[in-house]
Amino acid sequence: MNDERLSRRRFLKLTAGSMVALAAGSVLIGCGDDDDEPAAATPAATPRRQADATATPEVATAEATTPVATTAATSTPAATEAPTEEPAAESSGGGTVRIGGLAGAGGPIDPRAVTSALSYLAVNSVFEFAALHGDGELEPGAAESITSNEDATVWTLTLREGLRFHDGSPVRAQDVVASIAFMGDFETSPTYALQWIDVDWANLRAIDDRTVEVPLLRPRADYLESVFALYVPIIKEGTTDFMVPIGSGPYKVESNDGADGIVVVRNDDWWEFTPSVERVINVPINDPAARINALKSGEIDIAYQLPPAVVRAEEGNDDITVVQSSLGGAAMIFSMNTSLPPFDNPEVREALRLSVDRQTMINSVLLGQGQLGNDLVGLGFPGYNDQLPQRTHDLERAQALFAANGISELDILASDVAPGLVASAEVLAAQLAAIGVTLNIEELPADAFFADIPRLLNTPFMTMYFSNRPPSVHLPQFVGSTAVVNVTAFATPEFDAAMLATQSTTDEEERLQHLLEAQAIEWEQGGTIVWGFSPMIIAHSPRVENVKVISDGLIEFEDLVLRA
Amino acid sequence: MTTGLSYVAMRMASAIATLFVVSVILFAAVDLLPGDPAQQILGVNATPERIEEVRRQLNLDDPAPVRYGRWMWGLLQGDLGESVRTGGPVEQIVGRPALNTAILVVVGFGAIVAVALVLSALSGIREGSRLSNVVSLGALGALSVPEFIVAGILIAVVGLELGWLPAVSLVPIGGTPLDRPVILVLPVISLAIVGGAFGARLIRAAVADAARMPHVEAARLSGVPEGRVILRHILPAAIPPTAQVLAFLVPFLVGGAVVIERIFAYPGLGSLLVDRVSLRDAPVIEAVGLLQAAAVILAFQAADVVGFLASPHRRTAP
Amino acid sequence: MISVRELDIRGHLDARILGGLCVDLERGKTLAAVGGSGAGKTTLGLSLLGFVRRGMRLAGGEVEFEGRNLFALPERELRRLRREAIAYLPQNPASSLTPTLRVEDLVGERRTDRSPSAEELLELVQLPGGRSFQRRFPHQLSIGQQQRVAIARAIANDPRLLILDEPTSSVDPTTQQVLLALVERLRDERGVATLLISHDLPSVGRVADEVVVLSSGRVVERGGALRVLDSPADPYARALVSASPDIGVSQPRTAAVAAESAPVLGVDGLCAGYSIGRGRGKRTIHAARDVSFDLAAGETLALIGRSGSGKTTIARTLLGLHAPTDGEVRLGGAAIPPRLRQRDRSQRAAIQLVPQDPEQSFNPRRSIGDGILRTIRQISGLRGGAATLRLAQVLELAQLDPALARRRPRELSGGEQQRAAIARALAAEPRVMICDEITSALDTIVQRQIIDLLKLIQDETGISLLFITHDLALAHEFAHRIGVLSEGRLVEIAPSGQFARRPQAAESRVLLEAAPSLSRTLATRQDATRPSAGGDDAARAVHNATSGAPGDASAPAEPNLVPGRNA
Repeated sequence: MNDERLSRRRFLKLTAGSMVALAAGSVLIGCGDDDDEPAAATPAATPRRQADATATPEVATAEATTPVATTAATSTPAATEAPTEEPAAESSGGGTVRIGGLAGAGGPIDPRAVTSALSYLAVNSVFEFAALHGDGELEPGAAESITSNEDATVWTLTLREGLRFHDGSPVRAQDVVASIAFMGDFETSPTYALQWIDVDWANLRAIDDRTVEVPLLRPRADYLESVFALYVPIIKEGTTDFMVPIGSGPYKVESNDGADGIVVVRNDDWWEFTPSVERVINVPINDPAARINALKSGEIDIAYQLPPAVVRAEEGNDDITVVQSSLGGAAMIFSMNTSLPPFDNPEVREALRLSVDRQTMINSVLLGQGQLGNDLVGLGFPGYNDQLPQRTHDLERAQALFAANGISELDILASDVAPGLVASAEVLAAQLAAIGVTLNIEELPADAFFADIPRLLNTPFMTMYFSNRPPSVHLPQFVGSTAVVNVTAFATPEFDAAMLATQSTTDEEERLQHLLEAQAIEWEQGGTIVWGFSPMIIAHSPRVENVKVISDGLIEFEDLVLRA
Repeated sequence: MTTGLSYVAMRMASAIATLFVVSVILFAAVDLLPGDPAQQILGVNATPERIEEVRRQLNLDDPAPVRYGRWMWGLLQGDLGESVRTGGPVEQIVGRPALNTAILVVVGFGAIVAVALVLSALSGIREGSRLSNVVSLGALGALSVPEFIVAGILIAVVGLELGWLPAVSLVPIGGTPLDRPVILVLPVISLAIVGGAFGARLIRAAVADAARMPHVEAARLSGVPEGRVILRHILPAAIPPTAQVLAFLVPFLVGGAVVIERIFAYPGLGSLLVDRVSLRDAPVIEAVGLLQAAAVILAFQAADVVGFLASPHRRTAP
Repeated sequence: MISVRELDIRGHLDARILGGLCVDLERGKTLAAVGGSGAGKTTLGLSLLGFVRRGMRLAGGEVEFEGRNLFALPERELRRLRREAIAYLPQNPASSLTPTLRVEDLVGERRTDRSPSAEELLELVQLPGGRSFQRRFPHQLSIGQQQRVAIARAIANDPRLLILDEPTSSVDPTTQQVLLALVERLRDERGVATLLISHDLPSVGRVADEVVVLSSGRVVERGGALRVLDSPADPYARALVSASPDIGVSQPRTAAVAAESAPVLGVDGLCAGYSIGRGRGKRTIHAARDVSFDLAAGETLALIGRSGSGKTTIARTLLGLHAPTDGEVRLGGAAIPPRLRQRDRSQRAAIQLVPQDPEQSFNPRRSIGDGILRTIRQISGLRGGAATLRLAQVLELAQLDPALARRRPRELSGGEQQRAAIARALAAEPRVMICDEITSALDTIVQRQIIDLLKLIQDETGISLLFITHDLALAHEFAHRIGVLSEGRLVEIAPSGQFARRPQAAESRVLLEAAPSLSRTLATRQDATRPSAGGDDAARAVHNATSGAPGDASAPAEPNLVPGRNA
């Protein structure tokens, strides 16, 4: 399969937004990234899918610019039972795929305020993005190139030629300016505005029809990877109504009805290739059990976001293919506030890290469906520090450290904002009890957890989750004195210096070293215990081919192929 | 005594008064939901200034009575406000789900009444008969099973194992549930099994009470044929209490629909309410709550009116 | 025609309700079953319909009607018989009317091809037969009218067998007379056989050919009506007969009161009414008009009158439960406020009520003793041991076994309930006790016991009694004075003996003539050959009583007295 093509539309969504969405519906809208970590991405895939993946790279690479051929290659493995059909089926494609997912409150398809999985999928297919986090590297999307001047204070974005919106009007540089202004506006886009805080708004402008100049107030060498490639949907200038928005992506909105769902049809004029599936219906099914029931009874083709128990239950069911991935998954965390006793004492933090039996956590909380954590967010993403040793549990040392510091009782605030967090606190209580420490659990309803941020910042010890995303995006948000929300109040001068360097150093290699260093400091001294990653789980019927979980846990509709 | 029309007018007035009280309670309850709506809207990385600004925009800084007054004033003019989370007028957001739920509740009500009437008629008229005991016991059994279990079993067996009916009740895009009535079958059965048992027990009790009245024995001893005893001597007296029982089914249905809708992915008010509560979308929550309350109040008032019309001693002058 | 053989009916724990009962009833004859409550009379009546109540079972014997054993008939056939050949009037006829059916349906439902029209049937029981009346619901009728509709309904099928269960105990005298006359007419004209279940011996004496005396489900005596009622052989039958109040033989109670003693209770120019209807249909019913009387210490004053004459309204007004429109109530010479809540504790305690239906006046979930204690605490203000002591005193006074005080109201018999109600009234140490129809639901033997008890209490405590009743015979022998109410007016008040000898008001004469008297009835029947309903005093009284014109009772009675269209 053509990884480059398939991961064309990788982008990252700010976690803050997804945190709220999660709080709302116990959804895991993850922020994922590439498939560059096979261990993470492939285990969940079916054997056929693996064959698929291994069979096709050359074709895909060779034909990256010939969409029809590429699509044909995509479907080849799927068509083992009807090989002769390939060419015809691929060229015309067609058919309807129904995806069942959490709809939340329905409402507009507004990139600024994504409240549910379904509208997120729709945003992703309707809008084109400026640039994307690709497979281990950055790829231009609507932008042909994104470059900076030498001191990284002025960035220039050049659009591809001939891009058109769904209504036929051309995509102009002015639309990109409008989009950046739109996303960076505190008034209308509070969730994303902080991302753009360094922009010198007065001088942001379109130089010509295809070129945009983005001047910054301070050097930001990381701007491409942490901002441009993160979330710049191209919105038509002057758009105010997002119920049926006009984008330039591979699918157009046909109808959007909160109660019934969102219907998108393929955009035959999309710049890259013509999608195979003609129509995708996003069906709102808020209950995960109802989603899998709908899939099993043939009411939908893809069930999006399922609990780990489903994987267990449907093992051996040939009518259902389960795909799971850490991309789009959640980092499951115990969060210690390093400024509050007893966790202001590094020895207590270390004792706690050593007390956690991570594999047992995964086995009992995630029913074995998850990956081991090493106290850092970003597993599987570029820039993730995988050179650090895997943290293991060492009860003897933990017991000694607790005893030395006179700790025999701890309190934890637990909430199922990601399913399993309360259970994780219970497992931790059992593990701590084994070394003579009592853990008192205070449970908070999931929908109340994020409602009182100041309280969370004054809680010494709590369960937490973060969408899994690259360290270069995660750390500036949540760790260090300049973080937007410094959840663990961790802010040593060394860490802050390392983070600043990752943003101001223009040299790629050097910047990576600073990033790894920052992670090492956080790993060594910080207050975050990432015990595991809860995967994004998707199930689909054999009728649909090429269902791939990509970054953010998204499915790209243009990749889907229907079997005859 | 009073005429039917003035009685109905009186009941309507009391219904409106009740609804008014409910609106105060509802408003207070939504107001007391934990979490600051402004914070919810803006997310974790909102600055205090922005939160303050949004609070001002949403008029959250006004005292609660003032906000209630404003809401009520809009309500009286038919303006339910706008969603604070997804925008758009509330009546538009609530409209379709309300219709869907209304269809589910009405069909469910019909099914429950049918089940309950048949069961109770089989058992209530001749108290103490074996059939009566079997029905009574069966009803108790069905009653003690929560509807989500019933629904789960139906989905697993009828929907998935046998594949006779859709396991989820997806409404056709742009249509109504009536465009594809088959999706109503399992939800309605789930409601009717529990609700029918519930209703049957109560109706049975009402009918049994009516059947115990001295004039019933007198009618039997007068040689009135049993069919006529039931139709003319028992059932008319059982109508007022039965109407009350049926009215009790409405809150059961409205509440049960919340659970059933979620299990069957049926796009009704229940699903909407669950979503909007988690989003702290106060105007929508209040509108849904008010609608549900209105349905329940209306049902009880209707039962009172039916009871009134069916009771000659209340309807006519002495 | 109907023959009961060795009928054995058992109740809870196989207790005997009826044992080895044998009764025969011929066409055109009237058989009366008499006895106290619990004697099995009603069970016997129902068995003649082939019916045994729930909780009882047929243990043996049979009931043969026109050659067929009713208990062997299928339900369908049984219903047909009841519909076509038998009429049954239950004990409380008004409650047998289905409230949601109109008069026309109630009567029409039981009509057969050979029945008179609904209009004729209604006129037969002296009700207007017109359309507007037929369109009414039971609640739109007075109790008396309801009872007569029930009678019309019962006989609508032109029955061959008529079963009347205590037809006179709860109906007003007018209806009583209508009914008895009707029984006689049906017997004479249609040859109807009647089973009359009753403890009302004067009525039995008037119409019965034969009498069986039942006690605990067994026949203790049987024979011709005149013989059994005149000279019963069985001790129980004797007690029953002697307990029956009889204005023909009873002695009036002599005034044991010092004439000069100041009245305890004074009523002066009392007027009271209530309004019914609404809007334009609103009108005021004057239930009491300018009523004045005094009640001396230790005196019993009986207030008598037909239903609707204002007896109960006056009682309620004295109790402060109903505000008078005019007049005043004096207690020991001083006027007291009209409303209960304006009266102080001692004023409230001074006037107490013994209600008609004691069971309903007690909390069904608490013991009788608790209920009385509550009154003691509320009115006397006593607490703890003092209250308990007072409870013991009043129970003894009312001759109620303290063990019974631990029971709940429904676990007591009617007589025991009434004693409990009396004890509760006494708990307040009242000066006046108002007894509102307290014996009307009791059988004569129990009634006699209660009356004796009240006399005893009066002797011991010197309490004054206002005794409200419609039973003139009872009033005559129990009250020192009798007051007669007619349409809210106190038309006469006189010492009992004088009243019975020389009634002044027309209404008094009517009541007196209608007053049940076993001795007179028997005497009349012994004189007459066959009781053609025509000539006797009682029947004349019926006519007067029902003609609604109390003004002229001395006018000669219409010869044909049986109510009907020929009037």
